Amino acid sequence: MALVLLRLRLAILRRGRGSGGAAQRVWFLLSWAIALVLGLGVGGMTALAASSPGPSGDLLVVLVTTVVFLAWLISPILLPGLADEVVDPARLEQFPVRPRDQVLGGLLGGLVGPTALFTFLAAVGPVVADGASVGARLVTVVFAFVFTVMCVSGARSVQALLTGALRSRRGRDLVLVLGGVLGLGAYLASQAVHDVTGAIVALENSAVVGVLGWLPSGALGHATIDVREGMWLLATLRLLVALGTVALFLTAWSWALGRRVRGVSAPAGARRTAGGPQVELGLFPPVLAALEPTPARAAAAQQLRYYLFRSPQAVQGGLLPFVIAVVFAHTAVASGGVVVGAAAMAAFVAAVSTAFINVFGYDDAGVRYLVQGAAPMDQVLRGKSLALLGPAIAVLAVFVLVEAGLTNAWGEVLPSLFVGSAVLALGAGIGAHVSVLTPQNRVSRQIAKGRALLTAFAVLAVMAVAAAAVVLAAQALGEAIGTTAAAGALLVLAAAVTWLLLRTAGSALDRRPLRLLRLLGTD
Amino acid sequence: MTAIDSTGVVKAFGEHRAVDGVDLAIPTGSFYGIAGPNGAGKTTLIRMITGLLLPDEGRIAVDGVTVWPDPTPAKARLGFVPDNPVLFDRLTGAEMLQYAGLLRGLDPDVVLRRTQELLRVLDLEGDSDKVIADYSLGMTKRIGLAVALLHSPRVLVLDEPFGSLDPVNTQVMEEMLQRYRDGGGTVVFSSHVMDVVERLCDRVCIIEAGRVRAEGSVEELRSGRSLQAAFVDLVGGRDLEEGELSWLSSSSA
Repeated sequence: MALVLLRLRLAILRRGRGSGGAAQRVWFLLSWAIALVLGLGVGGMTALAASSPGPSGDLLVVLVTTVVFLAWLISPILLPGLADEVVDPARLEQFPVRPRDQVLGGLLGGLVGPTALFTFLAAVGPVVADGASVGARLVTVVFAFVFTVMCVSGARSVQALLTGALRSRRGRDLVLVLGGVLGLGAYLASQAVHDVTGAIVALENSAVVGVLGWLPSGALGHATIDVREGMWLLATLRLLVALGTVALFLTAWSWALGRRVRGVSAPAGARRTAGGPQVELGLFPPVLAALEPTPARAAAAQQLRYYLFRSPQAVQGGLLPFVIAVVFAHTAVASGGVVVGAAAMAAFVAAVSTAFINVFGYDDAGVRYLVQGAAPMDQVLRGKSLALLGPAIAVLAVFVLVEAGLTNAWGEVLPSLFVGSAVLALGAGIGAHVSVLTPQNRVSRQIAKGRALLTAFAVLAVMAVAAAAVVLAAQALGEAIGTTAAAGALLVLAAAVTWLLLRTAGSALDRRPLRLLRLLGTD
Repeated sequence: MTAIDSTGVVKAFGEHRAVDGVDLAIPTGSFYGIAGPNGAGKTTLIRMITGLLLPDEGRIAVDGVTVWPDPTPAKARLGFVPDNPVLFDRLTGAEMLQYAGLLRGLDPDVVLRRTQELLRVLDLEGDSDKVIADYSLGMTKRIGLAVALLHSPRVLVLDEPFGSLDPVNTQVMEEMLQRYRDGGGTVVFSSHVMDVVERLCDRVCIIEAGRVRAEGSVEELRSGRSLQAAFVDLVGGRDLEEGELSWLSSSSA
């Protein structure tokens, strides 16, 4: 039966090559070629590292196996769509297949694929290291194979354990948040580590290699170093750590299959919450509760609900750019002062955040409701476009105050706030037009990538020009009436221009609401 | 007086004429069924009636208001519940109803009162604080119906309304629709389920290949048979050939 499942896996792989036309065939062959080239490249790197005894080489070998192993464990969570359909217990439960056979077949199938090829080649690199004995070379091949089995079994057990959770809305939300946090963490880390050599030296001198060498992720990487240096007992102990991990993964995988039959992973029934009588319109967050409930404010309330924090996708696309903008604008402050930094931050947010440039992006079928329900689309657009202006100005104010404190430029606080707010307001107006002209459905991901890229560059350019124009005008006018008064006047002017931009974008949308549905793919 | 009046409505997608010259006069205050096999053009026709799809030819009026080229005034008189209701699924049920009411220009107090009543009647009160994305399909259907009824439309159009509802909620929905009709409203719904059509509707139209094959009262179309039998006779049934699937008669162990 395990062989039947292996054949199923091979059939799925063949489907990748299969009848889907030349492009699919090319992609199939290309994926194997890329895995081969990358695997040889990383394997060559570990071979070089293993050839140079010392802390740097050891660190590299252990780090490579650790990173590859962690990537295998995370991939089922971040990229569930990449998994074949063999592992999902629901796919096989109707057939007479024992859990043991499912696990064995799934493991064999997982060992046949481009990613497994890459993993084996990356781990087997030290086999050609200088100075290794024949015995060490042979054992290194065994280590590489066990490492590959450990990676595959780890990924498959994670996938089997989470298969129900990842299909749920909360599971998908968690994946999005995790992806965003990892991406943001990687970006901030790349910003923080300026001295790569220094960081490597610090790692070499720390206990990192020693600790990783006894963890499943780095044990086999360290074991190749041990056998090179003739420390066979240590290598054997590390091999046992890896084999024990494989056994643990296979047990967890088998347990996950059984758990479904026992009914533990079945979706929980709808939990009833105590819904007492409502005495006010709960749609409106407290910040909007005091205002008159108009369609525009209702749309703003809906938008705020989505971005704070009902829709993880909206959080990713709308709020994470704020963090990047702060990092980006901090460097602008160093070269141009707080006013320039505030303008740069505002321009970046308005050009990149979906809260400004794609206000219908996360509504999906909701947009169809708006059109079908004859909602006043000009008011809806206005509400959505202005919804996040308040939070954006609040972030801007914090940024300006912190930067003014750091650079002791308290005199620039008001002009910076005015200039930044003016740029954000213009961004809301320009974004409203972009949202109507080239809306993108970020939920269904029906996005024309070429058009999206072109739009992104165009909006960035427009916002850069707008920010530069506001800053230059503030400077020029400031010589006559003072910087603060000039910046204030420009804010009033920007508000008027934004009002005009929102009106024209709203009119365009009201004239052709079905076009919006068509472009969003919800018609 | 007609609630929906369509004359010579045509819609083609490329070479395929999904709706091919449909004339309908749906009386005000009636319970009207649109039946037809899969791909007959029912949903396309409904989308044109509800102002979501522009016809290539013909004229449609809802409650005396011409739908095209500007469907907004007609939409104000309509409530529409699609097969899979389209809503803002990250709002809670209560928030969605409030949003819908404010977009329709209703007074906030009216919105609040109707929201509570609809949630209670549709047995969604306990789940009113849950986001719609976490609703079952049956609950989504019920909140979709609540959204469509909130502004008390003159005409209510439903696309396959009873699928995925349990018997209790089916009965509640039927009673709500009957009460709505008794109050002067018109209910138009499409369905494959002939016994539902037979039980609820005053009049039925059967569409096949984009054309009206038959239209009249349920009694007229039945002609002494069940409506299911009349439907199959009209659109043509399919029988298994002698000997086909004969292996099903013996167990394979």
